[in-house]
Amino acid sequence: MTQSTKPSAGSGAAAAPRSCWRCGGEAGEAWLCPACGTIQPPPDTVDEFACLGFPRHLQLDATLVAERFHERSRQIHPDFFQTKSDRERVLSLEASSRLNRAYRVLRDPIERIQALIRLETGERETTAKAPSDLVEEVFELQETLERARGHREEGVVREQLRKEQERWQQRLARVDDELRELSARWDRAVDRGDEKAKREVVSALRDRLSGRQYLVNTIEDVTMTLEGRSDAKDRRH
Amino acid sequence: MPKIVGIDLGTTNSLVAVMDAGRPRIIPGPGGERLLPSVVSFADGRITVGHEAKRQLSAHPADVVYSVKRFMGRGLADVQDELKFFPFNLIEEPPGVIRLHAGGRRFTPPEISAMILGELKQWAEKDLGEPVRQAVITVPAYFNDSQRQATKDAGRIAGLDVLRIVNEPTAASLAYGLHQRKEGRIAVYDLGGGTFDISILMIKSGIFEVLATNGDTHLGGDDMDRRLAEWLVEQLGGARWLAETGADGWSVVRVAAESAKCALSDEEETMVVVAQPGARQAERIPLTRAQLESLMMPIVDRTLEPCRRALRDAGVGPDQIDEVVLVGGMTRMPLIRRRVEELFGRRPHTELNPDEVVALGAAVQADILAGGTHNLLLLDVNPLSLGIETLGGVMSVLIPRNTTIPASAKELFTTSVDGQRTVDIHVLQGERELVADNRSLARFQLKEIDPMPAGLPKIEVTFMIDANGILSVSAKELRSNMAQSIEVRPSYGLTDEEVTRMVEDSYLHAREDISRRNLIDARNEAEMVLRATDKALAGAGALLPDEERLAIEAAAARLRDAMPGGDPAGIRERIKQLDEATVNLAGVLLGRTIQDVAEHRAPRS
Repeated sequence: MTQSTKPSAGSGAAAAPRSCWRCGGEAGEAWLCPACGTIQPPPDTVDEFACLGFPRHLQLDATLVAERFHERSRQIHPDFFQTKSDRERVLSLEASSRLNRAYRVLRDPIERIQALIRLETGERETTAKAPSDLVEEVFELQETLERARGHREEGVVREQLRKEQERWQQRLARVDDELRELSARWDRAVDRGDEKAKREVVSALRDRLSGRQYLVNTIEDVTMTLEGRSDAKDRRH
Repeated sequence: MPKIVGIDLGTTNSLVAVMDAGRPRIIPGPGGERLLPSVVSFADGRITVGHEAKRQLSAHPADVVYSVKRFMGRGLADVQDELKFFPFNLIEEPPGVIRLHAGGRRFTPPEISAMILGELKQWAEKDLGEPVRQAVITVPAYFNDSQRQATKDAGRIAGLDVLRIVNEPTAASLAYGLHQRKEGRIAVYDLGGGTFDISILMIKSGIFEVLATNGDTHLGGDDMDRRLAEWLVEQLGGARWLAETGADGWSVVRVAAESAKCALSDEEETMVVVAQPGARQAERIPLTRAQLESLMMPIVDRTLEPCRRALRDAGVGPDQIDEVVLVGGMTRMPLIRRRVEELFGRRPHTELNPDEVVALGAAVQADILAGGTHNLLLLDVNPLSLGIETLGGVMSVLIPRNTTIPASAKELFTTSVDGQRTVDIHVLQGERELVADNRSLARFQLKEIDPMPAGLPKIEVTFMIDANGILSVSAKELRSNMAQSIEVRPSYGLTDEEVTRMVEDSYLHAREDISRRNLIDARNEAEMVLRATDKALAGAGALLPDEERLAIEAAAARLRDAMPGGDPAGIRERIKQLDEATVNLAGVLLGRTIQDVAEHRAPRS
């Protein structure tokens, strides 16, 4: 563990248009100065989409995301700055950590939606919430889980749980379909510049996402009970 | 440009390699040996490293330190279970810092590791003919922050600027030259002396992207040797035998177990010979490979669950892995090769020497950092989630495991009481829900906060995991945009000041050790010369004039007088005087031998 009390070099809040800190040339939003090739402080926006050069679209080609990530890594990874100045090394570390984060978010469709909601609404996390149309099913499942944990009528309960597992997985698949459909709607709304449609889609995405989180947790509970693990030892992902 | 070396600092053996004309090569030691046993001996008041130290193991078990990697960045509680197997005297002082008692001094694990690194540094300097100052050192992928930091500290103490800490399986994949394939997923299974790692990588046009990594930092060949040693003790008479032989008996059995285990990788059966010092005759125990395998199976199978977890995290099935690479000396064991092949459904790569492949990869990474290799890039991940303690003793994850590094996260902190001047942050690493079940990395204190009503200060803390997998923390007050002062208390390991002091100490002791060694060498030489003189005088003394014989005896007495003193130069001077006094004696002795040959056709013994 090392300590660094220096404020981050990227915090200078440079307003666009930015100029290169070394040659003074126009650097814009570029990672490397177009004129002298020197690494620049990452722009202040935390937009993961822009970080990899994408518009704020939800339907992204996974291969293209990886290609862009690799291409930019070749430009700014700290390995290539080992022999450069301290400032350049710090900048490459910051740029690289920013890039890695963007990649992590963009390569996964669900993380991508989460990032979009964060960017559009400022909300940091989606809390799991039982979908309102599933209240009865939730009660039923809880009862079965209780019985299974109490080791009563084991064979019958296990069979029931397996069916429940399947049913909830189907529900999850349905929500994922809906999310895909909403993602396509979002992209169209962005392309049209339709602000009202965008707001509607974001709110629908947020609703489905918190329902999805609930489904994921539930399936995890069922799986763990079936496998005989009494409580969540490993953190959920 | 000075060379950057790659070092594999292993539990059992360590190696150093360098890039030479576009290819990595292992740098051998003075005797041509390629592996340096990671053993340090303090026996007889001198520090020796490697093969020589290993030879002291049976005779001086309490003064020889091995497997020190197991103690790097750890506390006593972490290693409690295995302590009974180590003859070392360990204490924890202050909390979070293990110290080993050896050779009348106390050493931290990084100091012992530094002696091993120092030896490799010398090998490299001798081979390259230039000073070596910079190195890339490998660690198990599953090493946590404290263990990585301890490795970096060891480098510093040894006088090396550690440019990068690289994960062993990833380094190995670089050495395999798998970038020659256009694209593919590979699994690296790395079972060493003390640790197990599994990494799943995606390779695409020269970019090695680690998708997931998993492992066990307390699982390796040591455990197998121990299991076999326990079995051997049972055959010899169990606890009673151990009680009779004490710590020495355990050491002897452990060494016998290690060589039997290696022998059975090539042979179907072997005879384990336990030569107990002081015993009238050695014990002989027959052992077959099948017997060994049934003993080892439970240990080998402990590696399979981390493999499955890594595959799950990488989001791939075993059938989607294109290549499997075996790393670490333990993977020579046929049982392990079989189990890995069963899991992945394909024959693993074993073309490169599993002992050398990590060091070779470290040399490749060193060359990337030096700017020599441009077409390769390693994108590694943090093996464990990083988080902070939140209300109710729960860990809140900031950077999830298997995030590509460098990785950073920002978190806002404020005060909960009016006028509060400090805020404490407890940083953790691990995958469990509760703080108590995870690894405490450090406690940070935000200090000198301007007194304000509760909730008003806005302090943004940035947690940054660099390309070494090591955390640094910085903070700024957002309202003033000023850097916020932070005090760090690492939970395990040394503070910066302590490492600096050890660096100074090591120079001091290096000089001390050299002069002590010098003295011992001079004394040994004196003893040899005196013995030879006595023998010569006994044989041919009568043929010398009295005067000359007396002069020789006087010179020998002066040398004997000088020996107990601490001055090696004085001893050498008197050796020289004795040599001069015996020039004639040597000639007489030679003449006498020739005469013997002439008279009896054989010298008198």
